[in-house]
Amino acid sequence: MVEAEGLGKRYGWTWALRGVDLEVGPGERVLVFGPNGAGKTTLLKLIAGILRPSEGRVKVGGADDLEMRRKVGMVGHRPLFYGKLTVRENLSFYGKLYGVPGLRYRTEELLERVGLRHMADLPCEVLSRGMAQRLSLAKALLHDPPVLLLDEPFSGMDPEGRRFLEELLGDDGRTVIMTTYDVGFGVRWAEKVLVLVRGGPRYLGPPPRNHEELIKLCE
Amino acid sequence: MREIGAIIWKDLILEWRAPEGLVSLGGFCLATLLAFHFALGPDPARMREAGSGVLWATYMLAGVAGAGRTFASEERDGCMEGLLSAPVDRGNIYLGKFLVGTLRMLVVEALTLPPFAALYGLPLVGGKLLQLGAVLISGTVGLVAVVTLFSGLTLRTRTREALLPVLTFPIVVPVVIGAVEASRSVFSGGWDEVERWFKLLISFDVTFVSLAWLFFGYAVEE
Repeated sequence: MVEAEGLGKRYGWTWALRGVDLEVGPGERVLVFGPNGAGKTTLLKLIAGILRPSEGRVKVGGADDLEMRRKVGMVGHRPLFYGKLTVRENLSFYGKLYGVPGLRYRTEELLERVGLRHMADLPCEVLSRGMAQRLSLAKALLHDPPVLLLDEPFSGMDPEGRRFLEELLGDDGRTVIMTTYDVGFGVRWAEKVLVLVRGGPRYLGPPPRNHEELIKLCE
Repeated sequence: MREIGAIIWKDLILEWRAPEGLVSLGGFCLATLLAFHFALGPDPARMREAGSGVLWATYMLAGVAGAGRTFASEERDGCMEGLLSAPVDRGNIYLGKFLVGTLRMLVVEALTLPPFAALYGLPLVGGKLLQLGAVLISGTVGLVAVVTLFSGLTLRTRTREALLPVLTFPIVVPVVIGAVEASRSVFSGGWDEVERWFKLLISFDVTFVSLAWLFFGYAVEE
């Protein structure tokens, strides 16, 4: 479902990420782990098509560029919503960009699912971090993508939001690539782990038995 | 087309809900026109002679000052990544932003043109008004085309406010010269001259919009 070959991204003279080969099958769950500045977010942005690779290539479902972006939903560090638009208007805007069929119904369905229906007419600038994170998740699911990229999705989430996200991550059937510092959950959840250190791959394989072993891989 | 429409819809709602940008841009234009009016002195002939230059100097400065508004919402809320991750051609993001920017400038121009005509003793009625309208649209299109491209290019730079005029002014010079000459011809009543400069402006517009549409993707991704 996701294929990366010799993937690298350079900013000026500095490589943020280099030499990543990754193959992720349909429905597979991958944890990307590493210390700050390891290139985790850069990798997700390359797979999401936000950044253009400086070397190598990446494909999702055999497609690149425009079609690749259609197959991916991403929850990033920042919520990516327009503060002056309402919750519903934000979803509607992104739905139009993705060409979501039956957008009105889909928007209401997702608002209900993430528990934001009662806040649908409020401007996004009043949302708490956790609420904004839920909305980010709704946005990522809006076009029903086969691949979900989650960059620190638990940060700022309340227990209810976290429970919803864990349910989704459990048996949704989508390919999920996630970064998280919740190492315990990550090791339990993942089927494959990619460890990045200083922009390069250090380990790719089945998850270690416990989080201590995972942390050791970064040393 | 769908995504261009969505971007325009979104930006117009944001503009409507936060109109301070438009108001300050209009205020800036009026203040500049007024300052030039007093600087040029009371001689009506000199005022009429300098009118077209003053008008376009004002709009060029306003265009660059207003460039910060083009991606203001994306910058403030970090939404550029949201746009870039959508299955939308980068060129279409540019076109949406460019059309909203052009509309914003044309609204400011429509609001400031009557005080300009009164201050500089240039009666703008009937055919002259139509001719000047055409010149304003074609000049504004060229100006905003360049400003929108560089506004996207400098989005993630720390010295954006300083960089934007440095990059933009040299490139918009041909448009501004064309627009000043075309406006001067409108005021002096020579349609042949207007037509000549108008054609030149249109060719600049087509060139700038096409090039910016092509290169916008590289500008925002790197």
